[in-house]
Amino acid sequence: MKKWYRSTLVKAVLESIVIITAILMMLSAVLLIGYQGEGTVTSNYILQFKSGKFEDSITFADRMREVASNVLDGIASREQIETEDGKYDPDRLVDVKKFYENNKITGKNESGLAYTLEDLGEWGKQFYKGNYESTDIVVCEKPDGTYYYYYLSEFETLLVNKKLQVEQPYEEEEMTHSEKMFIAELVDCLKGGYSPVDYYGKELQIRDAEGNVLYQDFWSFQQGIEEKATPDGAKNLLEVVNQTPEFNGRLEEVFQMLESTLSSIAVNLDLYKSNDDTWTEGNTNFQYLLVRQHGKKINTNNSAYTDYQEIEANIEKMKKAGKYVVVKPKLADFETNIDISASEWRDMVTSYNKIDDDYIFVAAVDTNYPVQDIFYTSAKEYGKYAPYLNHAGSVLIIGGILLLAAMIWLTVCAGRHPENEELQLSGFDRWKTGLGAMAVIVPWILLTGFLSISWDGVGYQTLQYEAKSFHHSYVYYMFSMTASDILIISLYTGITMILFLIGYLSLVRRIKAKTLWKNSLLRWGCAGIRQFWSHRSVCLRSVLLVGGFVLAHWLAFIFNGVAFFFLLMGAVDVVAVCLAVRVAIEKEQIRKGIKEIASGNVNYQIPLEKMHGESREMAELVNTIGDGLNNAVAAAMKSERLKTDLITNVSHDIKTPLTSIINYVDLLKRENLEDPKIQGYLEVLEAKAQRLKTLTEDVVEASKVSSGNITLEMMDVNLVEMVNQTIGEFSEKMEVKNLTVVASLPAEPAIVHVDGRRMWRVLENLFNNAAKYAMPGTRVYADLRVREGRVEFSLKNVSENPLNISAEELTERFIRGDVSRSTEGSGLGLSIARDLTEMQGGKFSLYVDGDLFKVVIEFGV
Amino acid sequence: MYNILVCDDDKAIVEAIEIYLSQEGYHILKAYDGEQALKVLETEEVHLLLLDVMMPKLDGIRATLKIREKHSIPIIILSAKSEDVDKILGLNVGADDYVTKPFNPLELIARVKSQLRRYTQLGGTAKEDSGQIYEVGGLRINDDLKEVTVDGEPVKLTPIEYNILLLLMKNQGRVFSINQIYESIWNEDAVGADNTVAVHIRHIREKIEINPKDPRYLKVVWGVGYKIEKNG
Repeated sequence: MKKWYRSTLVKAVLESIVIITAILMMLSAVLLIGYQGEGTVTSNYILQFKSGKFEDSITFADRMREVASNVLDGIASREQIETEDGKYDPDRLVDVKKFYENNKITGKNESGLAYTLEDLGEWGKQFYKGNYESTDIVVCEKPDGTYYYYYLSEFETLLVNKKLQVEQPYEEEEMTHSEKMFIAELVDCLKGGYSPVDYYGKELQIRDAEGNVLYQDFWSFQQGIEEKATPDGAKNLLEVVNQTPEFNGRLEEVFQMLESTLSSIAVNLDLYKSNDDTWTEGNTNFQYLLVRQHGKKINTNNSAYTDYQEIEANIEKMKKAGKYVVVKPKLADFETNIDISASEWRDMVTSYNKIDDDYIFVAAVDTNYPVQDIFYTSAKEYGKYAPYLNHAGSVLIIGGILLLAAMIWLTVCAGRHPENEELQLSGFDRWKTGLGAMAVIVPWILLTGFLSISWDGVGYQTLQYEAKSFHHSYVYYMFSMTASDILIISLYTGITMILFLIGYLSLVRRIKAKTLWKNSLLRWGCAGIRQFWSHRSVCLRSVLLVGGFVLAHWLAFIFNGVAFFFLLMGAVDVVAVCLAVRVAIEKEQIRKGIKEIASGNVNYQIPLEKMHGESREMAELVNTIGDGLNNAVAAAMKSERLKTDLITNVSHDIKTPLTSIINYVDLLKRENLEDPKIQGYLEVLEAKAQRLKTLTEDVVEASKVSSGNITLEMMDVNLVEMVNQTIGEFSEKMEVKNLTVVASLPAEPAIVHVDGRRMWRVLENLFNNAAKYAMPGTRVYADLRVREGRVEFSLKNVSENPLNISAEELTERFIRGDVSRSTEGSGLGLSIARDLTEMQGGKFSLYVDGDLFKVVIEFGV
Repeated sequence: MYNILVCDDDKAIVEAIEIYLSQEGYHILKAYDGEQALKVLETEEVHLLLLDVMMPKLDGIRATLKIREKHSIPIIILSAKSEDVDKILGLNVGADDYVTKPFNPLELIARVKSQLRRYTQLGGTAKEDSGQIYEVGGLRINDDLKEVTVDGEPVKLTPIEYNILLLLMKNQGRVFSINQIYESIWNEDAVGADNTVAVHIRHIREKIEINPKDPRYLKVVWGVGYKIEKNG
């Protein structure tokens, strides 16, 4: 087979390779990326990947640092919340200003603004979640430049009770409102965040009940939050601020401090209260030891390490557990057996411990993993996938090359077949380009969308670690790939690749066939517009008509209930129906006219009286076609008649000299010329003259028959009788050539409606043909059968000379089975017989099978 | 000695006919167009006229019409026009026979003899009707003598042929199907049709007709049967 590489089999194999390779590559990539990153994917991880133990991996180092940070975080928040003696006191006072400055709870109200720890915790929790509203505060400026603060509601009450009075700013009498309305207007203005200066264009003074000026100006303050707790020693926050000169004019700062304190306390208190035991002794392989203030403060999750005296020994013990980090204030003292950055660790520890000159922090992980914690599971999983990872890398590289090669091969061979160089397009390639693209892309988008909704994602499992609301960064993930994940990834990749191949290869074939643009929806649309433009007058009319119709309905729909539009719609409907009916009737008439003309009645004229507009125009055109055809037919008939006349006249002119030839040949023969040679010449002359005679007669007849220039006298004729008569007529002719006619005729008459004399001519020609060309001594079969309302006559004989000619050609004029023209006859017999048969409504068929010659004539009864 | 006027614009044909008819003992007069023929007819005694149709000056049809105004001699039209219409026209304007060119000399002689016989001897006078004699044109059958004559010449027929001809002559104009003929002649039921009768008819035609392919008396009605034309 030539060009085997183009065969369908090779293509199918290549396509399978592409799909399978893509699936394998996808699985490898997911494994590599997913495993290495443990949820944090960066290119570094892949590049630095080494197969080995978990504790040697970057993941391990990162995890250890995160856990250390988490532990330090916990220690810091505990110390913040608890009192000096390590107890939790809900009524402990938090001085907002001090906490904001030092991040420490002092337990005393020093600045004036303090809340209890419990109150702040509750309030903070809501604030942290975003459950807070702003509060409207009015700032009043005293003549001495200090400020006084009111809640808006309080301010309004004072105005209504006339404890405070504001003069209306209007100069003209008629603008003056009632007192009540003015207060309402003022409150609205403040509520909207405006100051009177903005609103009225001038400052308004506030006087007390006696008329003394209290404040020279006032405005609205809206940065405050709604208070959910009462401060220590006061009813509300403004009272504290108004009483404390330190806060006067610094309301915004006060609220800032308050909000910061709320968030911080809320987070730490929540963490403290949740009583996290993840990193306590016995729950983890992680060990830590934090020593501060020369051993006065020791935090650890191992009760054995609490003794400060044995601190050095304990550190050594921890070092032996496995992986460890020892952090001290000086970088030089940093010790570890993990590949990590010393300064990073030191910064982390220092940020949690304000006392930065004296501490020892030791973190260690028992790499025997006696406890089944997060390190244990990670280590186990790490080993589980490691063997595949190396293969995954090779699969990615080899698969990539294979995929690329297969794709190039497929691209080159797309649309080519092994047998020829012709481009083969599939049915899909003939779709409009846009539709084809949609057919590929839409299913993919649907599939992807479905997966993204119904599938949790690729192989990540949340580890058994209680995720706290404020500590998302400490949620650990573990990579896992279950069988169902593999199946879903494989299926998804497989389907994606199949869709891609279908789309891509079709695209390639389209480009090769140059049908990408030719077959595109856009071009289709353009062609449609061009079509519209070139027929714009007609199209515009149709569009306007339909548009008007639709518009009337829309108007009725939009102005639902307006009688005029309903009437309009009704009128339009009636007109539309009338028009449609009229057009339909006219169309039907035109159709009838065209049908008449098509079926040969070229004289038909479509009645024009009831036609209108376009239909009338069309009908007139159809009538014109009818006239044209009529003329053409008449001309054709005239020319045919002229031809027949010409042939007839020529034949007359031939016959006259022919008469002399025949007569004088005959006379010569009577002259008793002894010479046998002369006798022979005379024989030839006589035969040829006779043949010429037959020829001229046949030519005239053939011409008349083929031009239809004869009149038929149709009558009922018994074909059985006729065949018998014919056989009788030919009995001697047949005997001369020793032919036997075997007739098989039905007993009952077979009546056909034909012209008797013409029918005789047909049979005569057929029998003559048989008599002339049948092999001497053979049988000639004449069969007449009546079946299913048809009479079928067939005549079969074996030809003497080979029939080197097709059945069709035999009936053509002047053609005979044997090419020789030396025998008698004109070669027109079969042609005349066929034309006459068909003229009388019969069917004439010839069959040639080897030397068997068969004529079949069929007539309806 | 009969005088026969041969009129044709083709001299070769006229001479050929002259040769044939002279051999039969006729005296030939010649004309080369219609007018000449009329002149000859005025001056000479002519017993039969052979007339071409397509001739200069006066064509055969108009010549026939003119001749028929004065003469009742037999006229045989000799024409290259072989259409039915032509023959019907020629016979209708007064010709007695119509022979198409190219013709068989022997047939022409036979027709000439036939016409002369009818014109001179039989003269159209009806013979005594004995009931046993049937006559159509020149065909006469005397059942008493079992004798058949065509234009006076006796014809020999086999008994079956004779019976068929007699049946048809007795019922002139009526068409007999093959079966009907078979049943009347053989006196037995026709079991299926066959072509025996057709063959006999053909033999009869060959004996009584000048040109069996264009029979004057025994006609074939194709697909129906056979008949003797009534005084055609």
